[in-house]
Parts: sequence; structure tokens; C-alpha cells
Amino acid sequence: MCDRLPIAGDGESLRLTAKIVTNYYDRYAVTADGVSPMSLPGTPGGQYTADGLEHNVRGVPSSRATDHQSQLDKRRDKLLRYDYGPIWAEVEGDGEAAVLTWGSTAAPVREAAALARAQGLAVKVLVLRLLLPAQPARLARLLEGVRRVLVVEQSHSQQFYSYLKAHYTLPAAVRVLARPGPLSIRPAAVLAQLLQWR
Amino acid sequence: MQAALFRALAHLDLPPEHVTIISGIGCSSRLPAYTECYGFHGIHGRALPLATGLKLARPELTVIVASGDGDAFSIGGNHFLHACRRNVDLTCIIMDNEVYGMTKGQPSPTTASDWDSKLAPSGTHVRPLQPLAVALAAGAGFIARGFSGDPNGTARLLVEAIRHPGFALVHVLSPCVTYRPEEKLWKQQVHSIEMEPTAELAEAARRLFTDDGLSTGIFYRATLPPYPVTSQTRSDDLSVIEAEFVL
Repeated sequence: MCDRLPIAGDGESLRLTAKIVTNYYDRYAVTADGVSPMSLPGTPGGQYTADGLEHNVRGVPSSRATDHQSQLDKRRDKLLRYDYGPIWAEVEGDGEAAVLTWGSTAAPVREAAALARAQGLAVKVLVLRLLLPAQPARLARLLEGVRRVLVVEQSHSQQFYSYLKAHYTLPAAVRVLARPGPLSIRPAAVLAQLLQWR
Repeated sequence: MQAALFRALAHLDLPPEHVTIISGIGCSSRLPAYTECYGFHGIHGRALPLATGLKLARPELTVIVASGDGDAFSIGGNHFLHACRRNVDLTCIIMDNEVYGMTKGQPSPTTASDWDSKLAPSGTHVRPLQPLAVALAAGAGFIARGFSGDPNGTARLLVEAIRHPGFALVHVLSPCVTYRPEEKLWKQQVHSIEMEPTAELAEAARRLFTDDGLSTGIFYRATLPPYPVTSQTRSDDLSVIEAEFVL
């Protein structure tokens, strides 16, 4: 029914191209891994509409509750069952102190960690690249041996910390360095927090 | 409108798998899912860029855009201008009911300035857009108007539009019987321009600016060089397409 093109591995994409064997094609068929083969325009019998409206397995917009439930389940399962591999987070160093951050604050955090290590403080840096679906088991493994976590984020309302609390179990000792723009968080600010908390 | 499109595609004997209908958002944009063609129900106002990308990647496909007056002239107004002048070989059907029907009756860019409604009491006081004149000024090479209540006549326009090499605009008067019930009168008011298409810009402009907005037919048809297709992508290989986007 389908060819597996680039094979899904750690963080690799998975594309399934449908081979149409009958004149009936369910573009959004419910499959074990949530991924269903996609036909390419020009393929006889493979016609479907890619639709932002909720739809049935054929892609036809649908208001049936069963279609909504099954297609939402399919998309959720596709994301949950996919193995994102090691690229879900960037990990650097080790130690009882960890800095947890994401996005544009990653670079100043790394620089601060390097400066801290030069002063004898072992620091682990964890930069999340995948926010959802959350990976609580993986983060728990990365936080083994970590006694205090500094969360660094460029945000006024501590959105990243709120997200972390919603999806992860953090060590008891957590501090948050959160600041809104326009001034970016500098390595010196992160370093000061680390050194004050040793 | 759906009947007109089906008749046009049947007349041209186009295999449904070689036809792709791209739409934006709105009542008009539900069209792709009602066909047996390939379809893409995209995002508001962005049907033309989507269709442009598809046509350039897959020039052998017949690419049709289904849009409405809000989608094409307001949210996607800038795309509309540049699609006209870029002249990619597309057929752009714009179903115009002079109202945002799906969101319950807000005035659209083609709504008369004095149309009184709960959402715009005493009207918008803004002159309606003249989409065909705009298309002419922007460089479209095929400009026509049809009426959804005349599926055979509109089908004939669509056949000509699909055959036209380049960007072809078919503006279709499409009454919204829910929020603009007075548009039911279009059935009696619509009339043919009863003139052969012109390739003269000045004559086309004269026709469009002296038109009452309810005439149907081909106002302008000129042979302009279509946007060149340079894609070397093999149409059946997703990995090749993906590789083009690797940073």
C-alpha cells in the first residue's frame, strides 16, 4: 500500500507515499503509528483534499463526533509515538547545578556555564528544543543527580517555568531568572545567579 | 458554481487526478472537498501563493484557485495583485457575494458603501473595490465575469480560462441568500456584455469602468508571456522535493 521513503529514525522525518491499488483511498486512515501514506497529485485514484476543517478518513469535512475523536487521537498518537531522538534537547556538562532554558537564551546560558566551570562550579546546561509533546521521562533521566535548577527565560510572566511545572517534575530547589525584552539576558546575569547559589 | 466547474472540467476531459483546486477560507473555499480532484483548503487569503508554488513545482497539473471577495480582495489582496502581474498559469475563480457570509454578514471589500446592516449601520461609507479593473491594472491577461445562477455560461468562461496560458481571473457573482437576500434579484439583473473579448487595454478599461457590475462575459484576453517554469523536480519523488528545502 505504501513506500517508506526516508526512514524514521532519531529525529528523521517519515514520509509515506501512497501507492493506490484500488480506486478508494483514505488519506487520513487511522494507523498504528498515526502516520498515513500521502498520495501525490497526479496519482490516479489518490485524490483527496487537505483540509484544515476536521474531516473523516477520506479528508471530507465532517461534523461527526466519531470523526473528530478519531482524527484528534490519530494526530496526538502520531506526535506521542514518534521517537524524536536526542535532538529533543541539547545537553552540555554535568553537575549538581543545572540551568534549564530554551530558545534565544541558550547562548548566554552556555557562555555563563563555561565561565562558571572556569571558576570551579560544575554546571549542567539543558536546552529544550522540543516543547511539545513533553518528554518527562527523558528529562527526569537528565536531571538525575541534579540538586538545584536555575530556569532562564526571556519572559516577563515566567511562561517557560509555568510550562515546566505543568509537564515536568523538577528538583525541589528551583530559581527562575526571567526578564522581558528588549534587553537580552546576558551571560553575566546568569553567571551571577549561579555563583550566588553555589 | 460547483456545477459550472464540473461541466467545464468534463468538457475539457481533464482527468480528476490532474486537477488540483486550492482555496483559502470562506464559503467559497469549501469547494475543493466537494470535488473528486486533489484539493488543498488552505489559510485565509493565501490560496494564490499556495497555487503558485504548486504550479511551479508541478507544471503538468491544472491548478485552479477557489476564493471569495473577502479572501481574495481583503485578506489576500496583496497576493491577488502580484498573482495578476506574475502571470503564472492559473485559473482563479473568485466567488463574490459582497459580504463575509461565513462570519455572519460583515461588509467585504466589494460591498456597496451604503449597505445597511446590524454590523455596519448606515453602511461603511467606503467605496467598493472594482476587482476586474484592479486586475487589469495589475497585469492580468484574462478577465471575465460569470454568474453562479448561470452554470452553463460560467462553465464556458471556465473552459476559456483554463485554456488560457497564464493567469486567468473569473469573477463569479454568487448571491448570499442568507445575509444578502436582495442578491436573489441578480438572477433578473445579470446580463451578457455581448461583445467579443478585447486585447486592447484601453478598450478593456473603458468596458470595465462603464460596466454596471452585473454584466458577464470575457472583458479582456491578451496573450502575455506566462511566468517561466524552471523547476527540475521529479514529480513523483518526495525525497527530492524535501532535499530542496534542506538548509
